[in-house]
Amino acid sequence: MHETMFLEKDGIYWEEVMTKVLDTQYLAALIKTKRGNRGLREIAQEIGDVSPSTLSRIENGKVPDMDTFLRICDWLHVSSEEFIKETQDQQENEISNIDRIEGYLRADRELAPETADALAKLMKAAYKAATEGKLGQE
Amino acid sequence: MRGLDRNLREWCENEGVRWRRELKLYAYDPLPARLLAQRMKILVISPMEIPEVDELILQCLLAENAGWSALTLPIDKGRHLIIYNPTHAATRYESNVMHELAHLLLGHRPIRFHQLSAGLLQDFTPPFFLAHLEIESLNLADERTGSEPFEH
Repeated sequence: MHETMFLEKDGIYWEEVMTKVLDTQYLAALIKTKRGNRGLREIAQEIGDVSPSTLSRIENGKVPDMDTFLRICDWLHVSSEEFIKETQDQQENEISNIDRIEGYLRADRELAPETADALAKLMKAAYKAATEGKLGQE
Repeated sequence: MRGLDRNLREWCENEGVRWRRELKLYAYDPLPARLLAQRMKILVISPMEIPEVDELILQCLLAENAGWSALTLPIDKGRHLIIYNPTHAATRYESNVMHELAHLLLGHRPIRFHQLSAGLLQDFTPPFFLAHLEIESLNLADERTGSEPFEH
């Protein structure tokens, strides 16, 4: 399923981007396989610029940052494309309504993380109140 | 920024006249955002009108230069809700809310919110490949800025 993204900033532009998922399980599996019995510390050093604990988290399915991800791809000799898949319908359905909130946002390009977080929470609260009929004047 | 494409300009002008007519206004009358929203059956509220919002969240969003203007939420069955930043001046309120209404009039499809590494929206974090998305969207943005269909 192709998700369409609408991104909106004070800049002002809009565009559509397909939503893709990083297959973290596949990534983790390949790292573990290639690492074999060697230690995390040694492999982290081999990959470069990644701590053993971060590597361990990635092996447990956490999403790496972009730089680390690309370095791991190099180390694996696997194209980064290999790990990107389109979101599946089934997966979509498993996400609750509230987690699937969509909308338009007009905001600065660089929102402070606290503001971004506050907006996310506001949207959730508004969505909940609206669907429960708790917003008047309609 | 370039002006409007001729066809789009014509469409906009006709649309403006059409909505004014619906509201029993003259073609040259101002078209207040609140009136248009009412006619479109879109609720426009400030964050303070939403129940069960933590005081700290309000403080953050209502701070000076909080950096957001307005947002639109699709609710269900084609219903939409606009939340505006009430700390902005009346003129900016008009521009902010009209902007949101224009998304709906133009049938733009909404964005799904997730966290970008710059921290767009944080709580919606299925394991999307965030950095990739961000780079994609920034690249596209650079290319498209000149062809944005609205004048600003």
